[in-house]
Amino acid sequence: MIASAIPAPAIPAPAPPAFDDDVLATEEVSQWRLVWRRFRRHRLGLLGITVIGLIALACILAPWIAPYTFDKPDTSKIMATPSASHWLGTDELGRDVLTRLLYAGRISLLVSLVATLLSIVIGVLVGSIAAYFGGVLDTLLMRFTDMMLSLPSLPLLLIFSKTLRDFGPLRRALGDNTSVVIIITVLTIFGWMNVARLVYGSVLSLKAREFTEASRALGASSFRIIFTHLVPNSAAPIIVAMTLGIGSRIIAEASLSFLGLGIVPPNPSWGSMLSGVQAYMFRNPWLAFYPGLTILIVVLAINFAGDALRDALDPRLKH
Amino acid sequence: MRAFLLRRLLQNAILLLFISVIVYGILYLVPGGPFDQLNFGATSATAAAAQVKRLNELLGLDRPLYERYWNWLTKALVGDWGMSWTVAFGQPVGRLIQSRLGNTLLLMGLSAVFSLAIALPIGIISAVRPYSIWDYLITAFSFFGLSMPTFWFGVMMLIIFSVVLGWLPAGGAITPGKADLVDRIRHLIMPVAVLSLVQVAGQSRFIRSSMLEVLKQDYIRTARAKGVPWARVVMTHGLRNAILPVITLLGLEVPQLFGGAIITETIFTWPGMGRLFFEGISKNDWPLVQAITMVSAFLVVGGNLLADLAYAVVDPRIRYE
Repeated sequence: MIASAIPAPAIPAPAPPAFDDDVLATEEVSQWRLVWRRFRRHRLGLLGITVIGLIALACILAPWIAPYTFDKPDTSKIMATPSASHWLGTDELGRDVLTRLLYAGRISLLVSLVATLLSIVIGVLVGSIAAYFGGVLDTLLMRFTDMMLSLPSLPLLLIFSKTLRDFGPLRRALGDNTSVVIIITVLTIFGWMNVARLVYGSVLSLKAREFTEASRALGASSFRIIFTHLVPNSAAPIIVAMTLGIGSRIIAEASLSFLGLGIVPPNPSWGSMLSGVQAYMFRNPWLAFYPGLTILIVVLAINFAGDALRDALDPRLKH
Repeated sequence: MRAFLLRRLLQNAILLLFISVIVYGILYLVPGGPFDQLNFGATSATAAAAQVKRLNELLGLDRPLYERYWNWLTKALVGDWGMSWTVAFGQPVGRLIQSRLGNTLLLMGLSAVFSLAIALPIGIISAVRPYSIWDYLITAFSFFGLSMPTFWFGVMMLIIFSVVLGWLPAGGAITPGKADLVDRIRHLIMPVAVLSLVQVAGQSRFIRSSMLEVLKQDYIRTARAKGVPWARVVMTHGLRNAILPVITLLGLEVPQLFGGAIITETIFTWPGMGRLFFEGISKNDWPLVQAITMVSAFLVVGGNLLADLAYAVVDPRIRYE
């Protein structure tokens, strides 16, 4: 406004450009378009997200596309081998294995996705607060993180799952979903530390940069600086950790359920379909084959996608 | 060095204390108690309640929590871990663990040795010939290894080699009455293979990137310029430096190994501490569960400390203040 009040000084006519700018000008590309371009080059990564997408879609649509009901026993067809009417056979109660795989996928994918998201929320909070404020807070939070990291996690996961499950009021409040809530909780309690460390390192280096200084000079609050500048700038490693984290949580959930301390009936999960399978493997080994194969395929696809995503988001991370 | 050692020992003691409080708290704090679900064949609810009350008094479970924890701690520090409740009723937990510890350490030790023996050469090949067909094959293998649910791999091995082919025993550590070395090895093959698989996948990736990093260094170029043969540069100048971080990795892998041991021992009914732990969990045997968790925490903490000390021994550049 002030500028317009002052008569504009005479600007000398610009010298004619040495060469035409337009020749060098390229189409402006957004950050995400760049990421997608780099991602596309990974054929295995593309295959990965296609596979995950198809499997996830099939699981979500299970109530509409599954050929049978997942929990109705059929005593006339116990442990049938794969056939035209039951593509993957039936289990020890005569239930269709394919149908159960689809429904189990809903639980397995939901559990790993929610547990991963919660872990990321906690990890981001702990890591960014410790790094930004430093001092006693830093020491306390990060020593605690290190301590949690050095715990023998599987024994503790089993102890937590078991004791929480036997806790009557919890079961009365949550009903059939108790085991789902418990497993999400325990996977979160023991799953946030890696993200906290990642974010901690990233925020520590970002907070020394000029743009942080600038926003502080402009009077931005600590909260605003952390959550609009520092955390979004750490997005790349967080997204990669999240992708790979979903895969490792699918395996963790399956391991707990296999041991009988994860998802329990009536909800099936890929792991719980394998629990107690040793009793049937002599009569029908296929029962043990398909759920595990599904886990392997899904986790493999996620790991391929995560690897491609890492290269696409931050080419510097490539080694 | 001495100050470092003292500080680390103190830190580890605090960590172990922290773990013991957490585990004790979660085991005994959850309302209902371990006997809540039993009914002792009692016909009326009040009779069952009276039985539970009597049992709780017998085991001291009616005392306040801090008092019980203090009792447990002071006894545990002098080696008295209490009596087993359900897995082996009335037997000292310490003796139970002692009888199983050797088997678990054998399993974990052999797996660590085997996985490293496989991961080292394939990690080196990957690094020396990056982006070659071998590198891609090894990378694909490690992706499979990392994506494989261990327990399923175990069950599949069991079905193939034991049920279908009948080559290997389905479980246990020995065949009764025929416990020679060959028999022991036959029982070890599958559990060790399963426990090694995931380790190999992670370790070979780690060794690859560590070796790639080292091969970029100036002293490698110097050695080449002086005319040292490539193979010798890789195997002596390269490997000696690339292997250093692997020591730390091995220390950090102890918790993973023990977690794997719980699953592997359960599948192959291997008479080790991991399976004992799982039985304890399934049967609400809290003294046993508490003690085994502490032993595994000891292994974890000890593994880390040993790795740090070993690092200082093999790398003279490291000085602990």
